[in-house]
Amino acid sequence: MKKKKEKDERLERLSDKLMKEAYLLVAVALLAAAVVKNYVLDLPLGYYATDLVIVLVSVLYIAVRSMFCGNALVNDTRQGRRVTVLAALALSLVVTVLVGVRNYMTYGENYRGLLDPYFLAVLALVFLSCLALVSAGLYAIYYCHKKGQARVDKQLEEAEEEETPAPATPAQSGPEEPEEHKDETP
Amino acid sequence: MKNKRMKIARIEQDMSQEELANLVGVTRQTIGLIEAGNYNPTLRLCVAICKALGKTLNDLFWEEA
Repeated sequence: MKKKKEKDERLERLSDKLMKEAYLLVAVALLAAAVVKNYVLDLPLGYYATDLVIVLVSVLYIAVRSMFCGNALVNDTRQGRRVTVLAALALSLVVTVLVGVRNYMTYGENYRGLLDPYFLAVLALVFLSCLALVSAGLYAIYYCHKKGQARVDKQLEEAEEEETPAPATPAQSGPEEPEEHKDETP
Repeated sequence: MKNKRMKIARIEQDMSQEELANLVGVTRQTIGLIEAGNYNPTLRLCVAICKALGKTLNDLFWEEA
């Protein structure tokens, strides 16, 4: 019988690593293209919606597949949560800056400088909205992660229950018979 | 860290890297990288190598004190 030829694990790992790098490259390029089309070329949404949809769908695919495979989506440690909060704040800040620049370029003549209360209110609103949206997205990812982990734990428990033989149940007996007492009377 | 024990065991069995690679189902380069200490094989591959060379995991892959 011909033995099925196994693939070299190192080559498989290398191939996976290259695919991962290629995906990241494509995702970053699509996001960069969307930013350039919107902010530099000032094109309407229709021109870069496809780029955003592709990135969003791929991220959703990773999240859902990870959930079903039991892959850890988030770093659930204290440091991991700290990094997540900082990342959410940083991302909200970046978006606020981009929106703020665009807003000032478009409506700058209506403001009395960068410290105009209306302009600051716009920045605050954008920042808070972005933070809320990013937090909602991160919570959704965290929820998927928890569901996935619970699913894997359940599968492991079921597998362990199947392997562990059930303890023998004691034979059912009627009411205890009284012990026979020796007749002590002479 | 170089895996000299694996190399010695392979030479004792009069095997080339290619022959060992064919036995365990990997490429010659992978065997070479393991012996050079530049690749960490999975436990599955370690066991396959031990079986091919007639040695135990302790003999080939346990870290020397």
